[in-house]
Amino acid sequence: MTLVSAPTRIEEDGPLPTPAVHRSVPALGPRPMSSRTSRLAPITISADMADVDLVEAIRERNAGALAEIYRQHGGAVYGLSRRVLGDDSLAEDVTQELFLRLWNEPHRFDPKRGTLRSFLQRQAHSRSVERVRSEEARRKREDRSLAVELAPLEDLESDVIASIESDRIRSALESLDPDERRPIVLAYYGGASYRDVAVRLDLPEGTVKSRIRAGLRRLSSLLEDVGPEEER
Amino acid sequence: MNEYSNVNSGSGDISELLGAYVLDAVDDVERRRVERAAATDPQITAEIERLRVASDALGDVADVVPPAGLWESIQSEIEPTAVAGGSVSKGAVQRGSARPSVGRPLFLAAAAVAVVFVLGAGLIGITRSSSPTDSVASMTAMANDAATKPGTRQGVLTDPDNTMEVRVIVDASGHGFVMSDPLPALPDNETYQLWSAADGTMVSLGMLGSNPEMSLVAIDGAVTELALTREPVQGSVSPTSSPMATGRLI
Repeated sequence: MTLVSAPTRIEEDGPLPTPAVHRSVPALGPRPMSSRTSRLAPITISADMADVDLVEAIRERNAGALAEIYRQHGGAVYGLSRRVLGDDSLAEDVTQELFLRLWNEPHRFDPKRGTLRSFLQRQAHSRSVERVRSEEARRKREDRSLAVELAPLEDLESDVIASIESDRIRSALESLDPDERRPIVLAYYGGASYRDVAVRLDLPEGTVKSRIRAGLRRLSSLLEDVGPEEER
Repeated sequence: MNEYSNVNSGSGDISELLGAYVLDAVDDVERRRVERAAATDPQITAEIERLRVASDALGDVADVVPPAGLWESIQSEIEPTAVAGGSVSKGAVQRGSARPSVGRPLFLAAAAVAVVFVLGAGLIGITRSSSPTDSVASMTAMANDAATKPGTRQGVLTDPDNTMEVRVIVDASGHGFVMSDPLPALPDNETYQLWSAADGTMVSLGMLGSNPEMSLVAIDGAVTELALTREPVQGSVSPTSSPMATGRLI
């Protein structure tokens, strides 16, 4: 899957960030957090650097590399976290946490397992879901009789589909059978476990698992058939 | 027949979980089952990768400009560990005022509860057999929250072959979160034990149990070197075996 290197941004608060093209950020000196041999040559951070080179620069404690990654993917991480959490402040927390984690543990990124963007988005989703469930658990502890207000499923589906910027992804999702799309939307964007989805849709758990799997297979095939998206 | 037929026939209900797994819609126990199966079954790994084509696409929902000041907040956290000349001036990434302090009443309240446990017992552990998933999730959230705070130290305990990583986060007050989920279960008559190591002397920080998932340990600010050993269930005054994993807090 081709992922965009220069994400489309919605201008909300002043001019867009200055593109980090060939912004020189020298990184000299000892590395305080690793026993690896220090790089002696300056690292020049640029917008067209490969993921692996940017992460290597982070290993060298080059803050410019993290800034470039934030410039490229910060909006995607924040957007996904906000979508799942439905809360700007919590989405900020998750975004900050993930970029600090990348700074402190760059070795966790394995380029063989996908792009840096997908690595960050998987973490953003996972952390956001953890927070959704922590909050749900807290509510249950505080008031076990509390009936959680759930948005109508149709609203969630239409809201999610409308928010997807990519025509390729939106049309693929729309083309799924609703019986397969609904559990996927509830689980992925609603942060629900498949058990919760089964309760919400009044279906056996096994049926939900099967529909999620079948729907994702179909979605993968659809996306592969369409091919990679042109860069935004 | 399709390309998944072999996966279905050989792995029972694990294969049925794979879709929910890539959507983060399984619980911790199921997640570990899938990851253990994937570690030994390339067909399961292949199907996960295939399903991730879809889940990664779902993640590309939209780019939204983060709030003004978020980058500055991140930058202020990393500056102490950035090399000279490697930092970026404020505003280089995004214009805006400093991010206002984000309130975290849930996690502060949870942390207060945890402190009581630490002071009262020195160590609490959540094991796979006895703890509710939401407790693990809450403690994980607390640990990750602590990781973003000034004064927090972090480290990863690894074995010589780097086959597992046990992450440790110690906040400025000495509350150490040991994410021991990657550790394999021991027999019931054994326990994992955490040690501080300094000048060749090992001092016990506590026993984690035979099948720990997450533990909260008091770790003094002077402790930098950590070691993990396998001990008899009652614990040991000094290690009876070579450390199976070691790491350094930074």
